[in-house]
Amino acid sequence: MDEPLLSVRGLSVHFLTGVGVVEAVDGVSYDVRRGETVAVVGESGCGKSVTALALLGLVPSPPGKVVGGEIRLEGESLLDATPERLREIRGDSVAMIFQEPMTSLNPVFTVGDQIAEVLAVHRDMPGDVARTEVIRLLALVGIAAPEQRVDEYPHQLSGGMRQRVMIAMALACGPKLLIADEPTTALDVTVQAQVLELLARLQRVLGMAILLITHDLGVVAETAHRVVVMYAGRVVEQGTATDVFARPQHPYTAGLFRSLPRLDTDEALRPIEGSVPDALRFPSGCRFHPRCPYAMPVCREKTPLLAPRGTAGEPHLSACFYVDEHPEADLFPFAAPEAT
Amino acid sequence: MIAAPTELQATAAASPVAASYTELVLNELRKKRTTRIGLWCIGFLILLAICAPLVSLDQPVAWNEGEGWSFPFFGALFNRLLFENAIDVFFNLALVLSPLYVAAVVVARRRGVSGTRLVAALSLVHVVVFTAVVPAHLGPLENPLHRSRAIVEYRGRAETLTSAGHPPTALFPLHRYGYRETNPGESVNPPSRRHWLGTDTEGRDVLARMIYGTRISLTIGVIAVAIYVVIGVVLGALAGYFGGLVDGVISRLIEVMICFPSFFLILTLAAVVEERSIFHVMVIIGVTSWTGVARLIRAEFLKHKELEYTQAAIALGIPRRRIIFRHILPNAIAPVLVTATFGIASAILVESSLSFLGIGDLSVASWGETLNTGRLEGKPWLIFAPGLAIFFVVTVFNLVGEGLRDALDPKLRSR
Repeated sequence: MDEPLLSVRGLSVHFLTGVGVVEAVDGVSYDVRRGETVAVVGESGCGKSVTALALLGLVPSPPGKVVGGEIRLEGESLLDATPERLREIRGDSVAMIFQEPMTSLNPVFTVGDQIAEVLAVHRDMPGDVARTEVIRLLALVGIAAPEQRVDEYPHQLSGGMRQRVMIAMALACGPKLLIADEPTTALDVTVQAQVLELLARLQRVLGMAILLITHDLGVVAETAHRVVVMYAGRVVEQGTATDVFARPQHPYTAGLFRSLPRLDTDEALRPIEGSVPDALRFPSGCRFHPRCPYAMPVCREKTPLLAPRGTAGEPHLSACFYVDEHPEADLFPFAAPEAT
Repeated sequence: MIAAPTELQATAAASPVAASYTELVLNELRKKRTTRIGLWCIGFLILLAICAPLVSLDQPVAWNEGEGWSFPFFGALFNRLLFENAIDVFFNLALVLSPLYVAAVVVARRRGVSGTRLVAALSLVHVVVFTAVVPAHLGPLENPLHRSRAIVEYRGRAETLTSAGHPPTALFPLHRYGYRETNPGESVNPPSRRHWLGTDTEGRDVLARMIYGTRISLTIGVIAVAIYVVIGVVLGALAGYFGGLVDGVISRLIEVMICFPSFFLILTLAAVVEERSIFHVMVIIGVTSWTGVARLIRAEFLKHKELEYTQAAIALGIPRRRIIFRHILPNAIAPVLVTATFGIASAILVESSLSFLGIGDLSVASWGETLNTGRLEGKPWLIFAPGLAIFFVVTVFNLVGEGLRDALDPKLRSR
């Protein structure tokens, strides 16, 4: 197939703190193709948000620093782009929506002014034309009575409405890629579903790609075509949503599923033992090995590489020595440790 | 519960009034009684400053001694021999144009233009017109409003004519004295029927000087504060937003400035500047007092640049200058408004102090200067009048400042 819309290769981001270097993102690679939804999943602090921020050159620097790798948007290297070029790309071909709709809108401007500003900055659109366009956008994201809402201030809107407004702002210039950083975390469950539905509908209508960053596997299952699972700054597994959900190929992914409530079994939830490692002192070798029921001596010494799993269709990759040795093992039930 | 969720949200969020932040604050401001009184008093002071010639001047609005009507008042407003100072020209022009401005306000209000925008637009118009009026020549043409004609002594003439038996038909301002009229024969007279508040060493009418003094005090307060708010906001915004080296340099500069005892710095500067016009005094107050504003703005920027809406604006590709001045500044400016209001009061006080110490501008009707004369002469009417005037204005601005502080504090807001 043709080249992917977005291609990330070996991206590494470090934070230079007073007490040491935090390797927040370490050699992360993934692609996003046109029109598809890719979900980046992981616990808090696993580097998923930093990866997304790095795409737009938004990693706070100092202390953050992109130390290696390559990010290409339609072939154009974003890490080599000038700040001015990056600014042009932001909000235009790549837009982003954030976790906190309550505070992501500027309290002193009306909703309409904020959307119109994006159009003015990127499209040089004069006020009266922009107003019609803003109303169209508000209607597009499912806001009732957009003609009235356009003149209201953020404090007059509910959380779900604000998130819709944020989405309208992000969509104003018809981006090719929408980065959604935990778009539903701060919302009520019913509103979450609406927002996800809206994103899916907009994707069908506008044909943009979505990079969805979340820790919520339910959200992933509902919306994503492909899944990238991250743990402690590294990608541990990636593949189509169907493959990953049906047959996880990394003990961490399996562990995540095990810790979710399910309706089809009566089994007790089993959380992953231990806790997320200290970012200043990641374990050697595979960073998951202290918590992994399948850990082998080699896991402590060497870093596993992403290797293809399965056979047919879309590639399904995971980085695990245990799976390397036991390609047919079913990780889902978390078989007794050291069963070999 | 069958209604579509979006409709539910719509009704839940719909509030009766779509009020902007400014309107919210203004409503809050009107709630407190002392603040309301303060606002009325400021309005009265501004009105008095604009209408000062109607209240106190020796030129009649209309004059007829039997040979037809003349209107010397309007010519007098732009006569350099009566009103030399640019501040006076500014206010006199406002007086002449006030019917136009009032008409504009009435029309615009009927069309639903917001009040704050209207005030801003009219102020801008007035400043533009003013700058066109001040110079002596407009291109090759002589400025018709820049005139120096001999002054006719209408007051004296009216008295002579009255005593001669055929009084003129004349409409004088309420009080028949200008603030620059000297009369060596009436030096340091106590209050009388002619001079309600007495006269100073040069025989000038104290009441007239008090009335015209409001112009000086208001202008000093507003312009000096405007100068230091602009300096403080720009430096503070840069320091807070960029941090790092920029912040280091600006913060050290602020610390150095704070180390100087400010009034003595002002005194030194005022003593060094050779030609002290009232504008020099404003600039001197402005360039020495910006540190407080800069620190406030810096702190606000440090907070606001981390907030999500700033991050969102960056992620949407809004240019940096717009983010600093259009997105963050309106959110960060509230505490500055409060200090600015208090600052007007203290700037007025500083100017009075400078005039009191004899290093102000002697060509304007400064309250501090009259106070100083009173101290030297030891005459109570020369001390009480300006003292009370200064006290009144400073109190009024502090009342409003306090009200503004409460109105901007969401914790005290009763909704």
